[in-house]
Amino acid sequence: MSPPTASIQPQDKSAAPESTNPTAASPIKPAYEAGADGMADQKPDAAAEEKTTAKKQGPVIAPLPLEPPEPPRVPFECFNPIDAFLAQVWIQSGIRPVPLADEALIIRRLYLDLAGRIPSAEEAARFSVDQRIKNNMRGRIQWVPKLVDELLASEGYVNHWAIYWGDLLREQSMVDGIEPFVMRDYIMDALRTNKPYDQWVREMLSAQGMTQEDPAAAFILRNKANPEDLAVSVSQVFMGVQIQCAQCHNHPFEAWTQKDFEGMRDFWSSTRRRLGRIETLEQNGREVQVRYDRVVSGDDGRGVFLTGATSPLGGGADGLADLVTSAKNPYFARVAVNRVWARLMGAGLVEPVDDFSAERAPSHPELLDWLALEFIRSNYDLRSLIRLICTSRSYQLASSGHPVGAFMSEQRFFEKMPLRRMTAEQLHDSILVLSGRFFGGDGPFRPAIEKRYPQGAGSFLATFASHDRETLHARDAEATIPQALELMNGDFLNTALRMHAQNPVRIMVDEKWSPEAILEQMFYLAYCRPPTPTERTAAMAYLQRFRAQPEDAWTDILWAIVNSREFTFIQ
Amino acid sequence: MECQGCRDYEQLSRRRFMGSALGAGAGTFLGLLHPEILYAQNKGPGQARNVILLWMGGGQSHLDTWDPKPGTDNGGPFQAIETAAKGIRISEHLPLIARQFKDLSLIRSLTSKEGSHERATYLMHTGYMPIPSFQHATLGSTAWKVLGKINKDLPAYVTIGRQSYPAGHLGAAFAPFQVQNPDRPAENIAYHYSVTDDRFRARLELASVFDAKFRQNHPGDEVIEAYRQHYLAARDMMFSPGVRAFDLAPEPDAVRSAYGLNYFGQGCLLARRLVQAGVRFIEVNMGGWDTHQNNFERVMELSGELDQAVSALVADLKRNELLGKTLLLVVSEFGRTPRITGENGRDHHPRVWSCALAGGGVVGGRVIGASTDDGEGVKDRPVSIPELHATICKALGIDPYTTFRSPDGRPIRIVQNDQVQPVSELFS
Repeated sequence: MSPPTASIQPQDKSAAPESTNPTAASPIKPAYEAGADGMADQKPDAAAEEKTTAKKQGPVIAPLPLEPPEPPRVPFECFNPIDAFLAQVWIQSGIRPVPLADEALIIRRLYLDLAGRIPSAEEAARFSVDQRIKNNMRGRIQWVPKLVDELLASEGYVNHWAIYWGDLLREQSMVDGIEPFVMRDYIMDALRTNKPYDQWVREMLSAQGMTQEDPAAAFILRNKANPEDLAVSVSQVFMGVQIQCAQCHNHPFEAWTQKDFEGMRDFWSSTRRRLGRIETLEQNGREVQVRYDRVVSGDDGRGVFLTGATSPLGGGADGLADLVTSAKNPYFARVAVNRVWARLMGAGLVEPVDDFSAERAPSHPELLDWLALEFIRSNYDLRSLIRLICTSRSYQLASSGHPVGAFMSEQRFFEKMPLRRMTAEQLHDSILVLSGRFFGGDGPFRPAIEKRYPQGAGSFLATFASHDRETLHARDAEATIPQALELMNGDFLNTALRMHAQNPVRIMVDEKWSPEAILEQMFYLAYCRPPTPTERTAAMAYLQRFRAQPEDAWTDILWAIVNSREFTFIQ
Repeated sequence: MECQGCRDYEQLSRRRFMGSALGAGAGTFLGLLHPEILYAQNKGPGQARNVILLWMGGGQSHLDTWDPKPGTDNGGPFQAIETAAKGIRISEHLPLIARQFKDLSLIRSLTSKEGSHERATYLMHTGYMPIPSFQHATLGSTAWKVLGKINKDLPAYVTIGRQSYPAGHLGAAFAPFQVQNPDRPAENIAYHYSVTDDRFRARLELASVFDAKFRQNHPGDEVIEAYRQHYLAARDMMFSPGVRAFDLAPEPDAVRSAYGLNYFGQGCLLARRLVQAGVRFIEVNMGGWDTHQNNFERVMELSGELDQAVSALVADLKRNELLGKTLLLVVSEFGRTPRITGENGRDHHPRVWSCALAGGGVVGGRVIGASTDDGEGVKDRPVSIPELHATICKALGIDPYTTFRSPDGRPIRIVQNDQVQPVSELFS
């Protein structure tokens, strides 16, 4: 059976459009000018031809300012300049944001955002117990940065954000011609060493050879060294520009032309995928031949950059790497900070995050530029960027309550943290933490980062919309019935929650904790709050009712904890 | 080689389409209030109880399927063959369907102005052009809302394949149940083997106690509400005898192979089972029609799958006396350019294209409208997408001018303009 939709497949280079055919490749007039009749009206357009020789092509966004915008002075207690930029708009729009989220919820939020899972009881207690008295604004300015730094220095940060970058770079575990898992290792290494983002991207775009020699080559090989795929990936991932529809034809609803696409494609015109070497491995007692590819890039590429800028390194891959990562590229830093912002704040300053255009105004243009210039100034330090956002007062706002004045607005004010459903991996790993299987889990209980990507349809992760890593797209956040069925009846959850030796309930029972105390502990672990009297009564009644099978009854209570929405959402 | 860009765009857009109600600040109209039907008149006695919509995703080439023009400049290499209905000729690569034209009819004059996959797909499913601030409901959700469930334990709207559509102003409760792979029984539809019936029900009760505080803290949150609705629907499904309908295993091998042992064929078989079980609206996805390159080779291949599956479905529905009550549609977001490109492909062409219909009161052997001789435009009786919607409504006995009130108070009609009429010639 073949699925009805297919993936980003490489194009056969030899069949690229020939510009000598006047009907196939001549520029066409956008339909909104020609009479909105879709793709049918393909007419040569001499004016469009001329445009491409002008200094800029298409609707390039404004350059970054030379100096960072001054954070406004506002009558609002700010933790850092982010808050000042947001507060200015709140004040202008008559909005009062919601209060700060509870301390325990912030600890949970930070663990999920930075380490991809809920904290264990010990981890949460370490921060919440000592710091409880300091849970006023001043106190928070002290302990939140401490926790953020600790999490950013942990392997949890590497694991969690490797999944995020893996989606963007379409990292797959097994790709022909590439060593298994080499691309993930490369991403994790970049995060672990906090490789400057521009350097990371430069490495990937100008890589040469086999992944054994240069793991950065995995990016080009993942795109099969195909100029069309690389043009689409590079433009969208690193510049937030979607030129893919201009690949075959001038799209009637997008401003980029086929010429723009060809310009980005031609940076790769002398890049080839060649046989690297063949290794003979023994697998299951049989000899298997494995092929490793290598990237070969000449320096005679003919690329034309989207912004019209040129590089002394020429029109090939090195020139492209230079142009993309240049501080003068108006997209590069803005797109990166906007992506990280959206990941942490629930929505981008520009939405959608990979569709930057001159018409699509950022919600807070000065903040975006300030963050971008700060990112450049920090030498493209991703950890600093995350730290900056997470230690802002705005990141720490509650996800409940009613902000004053923002009712039913389409505009993004960031006056309240939106509730976010955990990603597939966050949910998976949090279930492992809750059931005591996260540390040292094996088999089906290995943490998400150790799994092969993409995950097959029907797996726990795929059901909760882990990325297919085939095409570039945002993950689906829509609730589905199969997700409800998976959490109620799926084997992963039902098995994980059994009373095995590491289950915290089992440990507490063995240590003779009272049922009430166990329940309270598990509520803190799952929800960061004690049970209400109603919840306590219901749980105790449950234990009483199924007292003949106390272990099953506790499994059921954990099941009910996970199957309440409160567990699944990041508050 | 084909327009990869468009495919990416299509996939990306579909995902955006699906997720659009969830972005921060967007779609705050969902779930705050229950939508209401304000008024409905002109409700006729529709014959159709169910709809099966076969979605030809990507843009089906009308000239190479339902509206052949052999021997003309644009005609391409395919020949046309006679069908069981005198005077109606279709592509030679649809020979089994051709024999069923006593039951099938065609509209050869669909027309719109939308040449992008995303927007045209939205238009075909909702009857409206997309606007950034509002999510319209698709016809499947509307049919569910107006006509209700047939089998109370099963969702009234199921999509088979990877497509899904938010229910927009009608709210998450009317969103389709998505079956990813027709060949596998819907996942996790029974409780885990480690649990008993007694305990499972007790678990559910306990979970609803634990859920109360969170819902209280986030009143009216549409995301939470969507999850709650899906839990309720999932639980209802689990305990329903009708749930067996999702499993193709009881179907004899001969029946399974008659539909074609491929994704689309098995999806059509599942659609028939779901009609029997009382699912009102089923959409089966068949992608791959975005043939910017190698159009003919690919359309021939796709036609083989389509021919086998649709002919098996029509025959099967008829045999089970379900055809009269089931409206079957084969539709696409647009047609393809008559002009053949340098890469032997055809591009997007919304100015004219075709769809096929059967059952649900549709009289067979008719052709509504015509394209011009070069296949470029409408020659006769243009049919707009809202008119097609009005037609489906007529078949189902839904007043196409029914007005809903969205949760933010905006009145929304199924078909906006009351000058728009159904294509009545199909029914008498």
